[in-house]
Amino acid sequence: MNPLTLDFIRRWKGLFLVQFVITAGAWIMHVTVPQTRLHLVVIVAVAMSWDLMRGLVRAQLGLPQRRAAIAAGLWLSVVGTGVAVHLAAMMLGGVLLAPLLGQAVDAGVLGLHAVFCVLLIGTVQFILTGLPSAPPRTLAGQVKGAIFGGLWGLPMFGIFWLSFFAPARWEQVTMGQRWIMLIMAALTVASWFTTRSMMLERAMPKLEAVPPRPAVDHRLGLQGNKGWGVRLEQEVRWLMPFVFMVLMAAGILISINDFSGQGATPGAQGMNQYRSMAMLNVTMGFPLVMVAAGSLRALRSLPLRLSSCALLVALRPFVASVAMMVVFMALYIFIGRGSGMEGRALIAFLPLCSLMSLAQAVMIRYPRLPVVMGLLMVISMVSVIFVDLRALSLPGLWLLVTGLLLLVLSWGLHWRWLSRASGIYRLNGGFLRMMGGAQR
Amino acid sequence: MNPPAIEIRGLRKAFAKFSLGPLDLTVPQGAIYGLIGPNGSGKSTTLDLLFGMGGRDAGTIRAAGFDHETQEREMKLAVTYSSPDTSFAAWGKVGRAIRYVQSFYPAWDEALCRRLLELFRLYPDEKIAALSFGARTKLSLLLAICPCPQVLVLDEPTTGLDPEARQILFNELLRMVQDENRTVLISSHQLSDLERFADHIGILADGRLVCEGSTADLVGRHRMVEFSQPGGGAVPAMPGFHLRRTQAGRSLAVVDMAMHPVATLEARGLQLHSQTELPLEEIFLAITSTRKEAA
Repeated sequence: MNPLTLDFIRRWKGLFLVQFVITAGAWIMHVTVPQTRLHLVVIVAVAMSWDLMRGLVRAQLGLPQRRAAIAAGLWLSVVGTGVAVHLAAMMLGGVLLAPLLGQAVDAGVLGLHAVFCVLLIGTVQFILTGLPSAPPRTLAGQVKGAIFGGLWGLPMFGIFWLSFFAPARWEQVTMGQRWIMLIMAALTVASWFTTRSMMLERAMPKLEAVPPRPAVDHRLGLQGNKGWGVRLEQEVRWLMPFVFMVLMAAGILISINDFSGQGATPGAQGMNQYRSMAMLNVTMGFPLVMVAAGSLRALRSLPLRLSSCALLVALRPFVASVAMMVVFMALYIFIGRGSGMEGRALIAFLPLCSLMSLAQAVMIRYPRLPVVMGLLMVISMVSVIFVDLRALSLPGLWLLVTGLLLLVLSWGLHWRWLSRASGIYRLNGGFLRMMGGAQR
Repeated sequence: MNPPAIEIRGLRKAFAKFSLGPLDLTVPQGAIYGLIGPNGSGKSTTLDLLFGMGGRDAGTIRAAGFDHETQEREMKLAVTYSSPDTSFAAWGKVGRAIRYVQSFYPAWDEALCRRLLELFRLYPDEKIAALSFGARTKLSLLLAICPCPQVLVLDEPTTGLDPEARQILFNELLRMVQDENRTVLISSHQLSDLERFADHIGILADGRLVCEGSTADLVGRHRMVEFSQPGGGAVPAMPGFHLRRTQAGRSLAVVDMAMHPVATLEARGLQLHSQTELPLEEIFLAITSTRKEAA
């Protein structure tokens, strides 16, 4: 076996074991296809774990081996191993064990799911290889970074789409869906080549042409540049890429829905728009949490009281999530796809926004991949199960109170851990070091 | 007499594999104080605790006259911190990080900021994540110096800096302490720099302050002594006497001459052949390696 792939399996054996157990378990206990497919979320965690090992490429290039072998090893680590583990678990759960429990799974259902699984992980790999390794300095680099940043929001939606919309059998696959599958197949093939081409960029991310440096901006020091106004402006600027990513992802979502003939009708489909928004929130939120964790040391050395610092950090994911919701809904209303459930959705999602803040506190305190993956799964599940707007029976006030309580709890946890835990201030560059010895 | 710039009393912090303290440290006002020690001796932990990055188990910390916990904001307005682990990448560009940090400090020196930007060749439009390690250190230093703090705390400030930038930094620090109320606390492994610029030195080993004093005194009182022992046998371990090596009947030791004057050594039966002055680095190595051997 390729040594790089073997190393990857050894390094993340725990994750693969979780993937195997969850997938096998899901197919053993499956009742409906969507419930089973939701466990595809593990695939995103597998791909993320690979993406977090960015320093690995540089180390590998220094060893006596061909570049082609390294590229092959990298690709096989994610696509090959991820798919192999998933299929093996499906076989064990769906073919061997489920019949023993009287839950026989149709071979056609399994076969189509296997194809979806391969295409999904290949597409995720393609997107990951396109993400910039360092801040792009050229216009072309910035455009590419923006496109792939937006695309990064899609894997979670992809799982959501596969779970709830994708047909269970070949004969139900529409022409539009076939085209989407064809595009995903092309991206899977392309990921083999993009994995190879991104190696050098990751090993030496500053090779990009550097534009001439500007003169020192003497307008920099603004008189009266003090107080909350400036800080607020900086916070808004910090949110801007997030909003842009959401808009990008939402645009692609709408296009895919239209293309596959599922997003044209409001009403019931409107609810699914907001469900997918919750999934999108999770996908977008995690990179932001990583960035926020990296800035804790800088924030803590500034003249801010501990309580204010904790509040600022706790509010960021909450505000980002709320901003995402508002942008998302505004976009749908703007293009005439409003479902009339916007107010309800806004109230229903508030606890989820607080949950993102709570998740951030836990991730900062326990920056280990299983913790992150567990939170990812919990929030995804809650997003999908909880956000059934038509069946929503809880009064809005209770949801508001729950959201507020979760936020206060998050503030408290941030407060406690920022004051007590020393390790969280050594997370230079986010979680990357802690999660895989990686370096961007 | 002026109150100390930083006063740490009975500080303790226990980790799974390391314990800091009990630590008592006094940084006099108007000084450049060099805190040195081997890797993992607790220097960064001490400085982090000063800024509330983690909770102490016991002890008190006061800086610029303020308690670091109950008067946190007031203290941080008067005391700033630069550390290589501090990342400003979340603010995107150099200019944005500067504007953000500037907004907290009423005494921010705009002219100094512009001058340091030019001297360090930093550009407001540059992306922080794309800066070299040295340039990120320069930015961190700029953000700590420009608020014109009463006390400037620098953790490994010269890591990644080229000789020119180091010169600029130390010139700036000297300029700062010309005002007698300003103090600089530096934790560094660049002992040659500290020997030139620091007024006081504290040596930290295994979480404890093992040696402290003015730089001139510390360097002045230590000598490399070459001796032999006509009677044979080993020299007994004693504080202030750090045996470095023995070869062909002659031994070399770094000796604190204030504790062991020549007469005392000769009274112990040692025959002294020579004594030479030592750089700070040799003194540091002798003190810390003796502790390591004893452990």
